[in-house]
Amino acid sequence: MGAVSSEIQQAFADTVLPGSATWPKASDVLSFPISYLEGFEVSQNAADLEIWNKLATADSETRFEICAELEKLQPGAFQMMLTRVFAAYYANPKVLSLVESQHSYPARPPMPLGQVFITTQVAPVLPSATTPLWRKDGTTTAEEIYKLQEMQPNKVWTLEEIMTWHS
Amino acid sequence: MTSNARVVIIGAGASGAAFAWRLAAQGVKSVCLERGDWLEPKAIPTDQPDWEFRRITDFSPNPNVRNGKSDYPVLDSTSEIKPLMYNGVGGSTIMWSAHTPRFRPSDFKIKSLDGVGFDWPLSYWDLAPYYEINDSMMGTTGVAGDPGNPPRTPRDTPPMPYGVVGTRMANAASKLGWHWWPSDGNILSNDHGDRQGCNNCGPCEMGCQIGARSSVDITYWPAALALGAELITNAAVSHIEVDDKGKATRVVWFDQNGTEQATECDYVVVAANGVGTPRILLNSVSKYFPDGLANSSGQVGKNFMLHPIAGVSGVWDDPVQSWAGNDAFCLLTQHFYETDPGRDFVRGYEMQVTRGQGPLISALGGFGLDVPWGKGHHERFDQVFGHVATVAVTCEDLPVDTNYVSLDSSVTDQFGVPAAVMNYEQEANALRMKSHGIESAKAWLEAAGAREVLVNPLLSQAGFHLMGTTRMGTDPSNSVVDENCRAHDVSNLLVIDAGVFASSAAVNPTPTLQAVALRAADQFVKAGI
Repeated sequence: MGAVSSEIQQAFADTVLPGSATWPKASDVLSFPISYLEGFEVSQNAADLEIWNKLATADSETRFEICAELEKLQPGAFQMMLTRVFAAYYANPKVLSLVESQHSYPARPPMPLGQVFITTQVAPVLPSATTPLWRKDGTTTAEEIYKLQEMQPNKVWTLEEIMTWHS
Repeated sequence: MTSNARVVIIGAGASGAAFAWRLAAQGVKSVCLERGDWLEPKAIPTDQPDWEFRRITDFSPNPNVRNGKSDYPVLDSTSEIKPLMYNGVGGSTIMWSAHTPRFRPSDFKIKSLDGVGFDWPLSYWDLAPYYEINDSMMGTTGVAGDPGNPPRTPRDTPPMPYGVVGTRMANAASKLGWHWWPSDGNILSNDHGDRQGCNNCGPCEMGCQIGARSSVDITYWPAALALGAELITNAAVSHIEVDDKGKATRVVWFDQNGTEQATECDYVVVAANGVGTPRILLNSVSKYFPDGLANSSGQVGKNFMLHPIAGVSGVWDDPVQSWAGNDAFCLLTQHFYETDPGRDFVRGYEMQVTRGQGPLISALGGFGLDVPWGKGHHERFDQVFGHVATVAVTCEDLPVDTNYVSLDSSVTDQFGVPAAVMNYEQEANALRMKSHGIESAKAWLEAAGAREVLVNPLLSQAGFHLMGTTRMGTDPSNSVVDENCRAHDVSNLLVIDAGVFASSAAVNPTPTLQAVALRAADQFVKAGI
C-alpha cells in the first residue's frame, strides 16, 4: 500500500468536483495534499497503481474515464477517496458560504446554535380520525379499553388508571 | 481478582439502566458491568466543522466502521443489513434517533391472530403501566389521544415541529384517507424539568450535546446511581460460569488494562443487546451447557429479527428546509400496520417521515438521492439539498431458522473473545410487504407534491433493531426465557434486552424493551429474588 501523491489527489478532486457556473472546482478552494487523506493508501500492485498514476497526466475527458474505471475496479479505494475529497470540499468555508447563499443553510456546524424552522409555510394540521383504529388482541382488557376509548375519545388518561390494566 | 455482588447486570444500555434503577428504587443493590465508558457531551462532534465526516467515520453508529476501543467485531458479510450499536454507558441510546412508538396489542399475539411467528407469553396490557413509567423517566415528546393506539397519558412536551415537509405530508395523508399522528419520541421539544428543550439542530444519532434528546446515561443512570446502584465501566464481559448445580455464579470480565477479573454473584442479568447477549451466552460453555449457557433448546442466537427498512425520498421543486429539525421522525402513519387478507403478505408496516441531511451526506447521495460525481454533480446537489424528505418504510420481520447470530472464534476482540456473526437475509413475507410499502410511500410523496421520487429498497446501514435471539416463551423447548425474563435452564439468570422479543412488530423496539426490563425487575423483586 502507498500514499497518493498531491498531483493525483488534485487530478482526482477536480474530476469528481469539476465546478459549475456557481460552484468552484475542487482545486479552487482546496490545497493539496488534503488533510482528510492523511494515511490513505492504495494498492501498490503495478496494474492498480498504473491507473492512479495515469490520472496525473491525462486530459480532463480521459480523467473522467479513468475515475469511472477506478470506481469499477477498485471500488473500496475509490469510495474512500471520494468521501474524503467531498468531506474536505463541503467543510471548506468558501464552499459553505456558497451553500448558505444558495440554500439558506447556515454555514456552521449544527451545534451549539441549532436550527430555526421557517414557519411561513407551516399551517396547523390535525388528524381527523377519532374512533379507535387499533386491532384488538382477543383479551377482555382490549374489549374494555377499546369501548372506553370509543365512548370518550378526548378523555385524559392517568397513570393510576393505566396501572390497573393487565391481561 | 474476584469481587462479590448480589446482582450483576451486564450492559449499561436502555434495558440494563432501566432494570438497575427499578431494582434500586426498591432497595435492591446491583453492580452493572459496562464494556465501554461514559461519553462526555462535549466529545460529541456536532459543533465541529468536520461533523458530517465524523458521522460516517469514527462517530459512525456502525461499530465496524467506528472501530472504537470498546467495540467488538460483528462479522456482517453474511447479513444483508449491517449492525448499528454503541458500546458505552447509555448503550445504543447514545446513537439513536429516539423515535419511540409502542408495539400495538396485536404485535404480542401474531401466532394467535395471524398464524405466523410466535406469541409472547405476556400482552400489551401487562406492559402498558411500564411504558408509562418509562416515558416519564426518559422524557417524551408527542401528543396523547391517538386513536390508532390504546390510550396513554399526556406527553411531557408537545410534538416535534412538523416543518414544511411534515405539514405537506400530514395534509397528503389526510387527502389519501390515511390516519397519521405526530410521533412519540424521547426528545424534549421544550424545556422540561431541569432539561433543555431541543434546538432542532438535526443529527440526533450522533448524540445530543444539550441533553434534549434522551439517552439513559442522563435519565436512568443518574437516578439509579443516586439510589445506590453501582456501575463499573471498561468492564468487557467474556463469559458466565456456573457451579456444579448449573447455577450462574461468576461473571468473568476484562478491565481496561486487559486484566481478567471475576465477580461472584447470586443473580446474573444480561442486557448486552440482541447480538452481544447471545455472544456472551454462546461463549459461556461448560459441562452443563456444552452448547452455551441457557441453550438446551438450541434457541440462543436463533430467530434473529431486524427491521427491513426501505427509504423512499421525495424531491420538491421549492426548498423545504429539510436539514432542520430532528432528522429521523416528525409524524407517522400506521394505516397499513395490520393484516389485510386482500394483500399478499401478513402483518404490516409503518411509515415515518424523516428529514434530509447536511451538505456532505447529501452530496454523497444520502439515502439514495442519486447524486453523481463529476459533471452534473453540482447541478444535482442544488436540486436535492434542502429539497428532500425520506419516508422510512419499516416492515415487521418474522422469525426464521435461517436468520441467527453465531460466533466465529477465528476473529476475536482484544481480549480473545470470539466475534459475533450476523446471518441475516430478508424473509419472503417482509419482501412482499416492503414492495407494497414502497408503492404506498411513493403515493404519499406524490400526493404531497414531490416532483421526483427515488427508491432505496433496503437501507442496509439500518441494523439498529436487534431482536429475537433469546426469545421469550412458555415452552422451554422453543424459547430461552419465560415471561419474567428468567432463563428456563438457569433459574438465577435473566435476559432483559430485545433478544427476548418473540415478535418484532413494525416499530422501533426501545420503549418496549425498557418496559419489559422494568416489568422484569418488579417480578424479580416480587419473587423474593
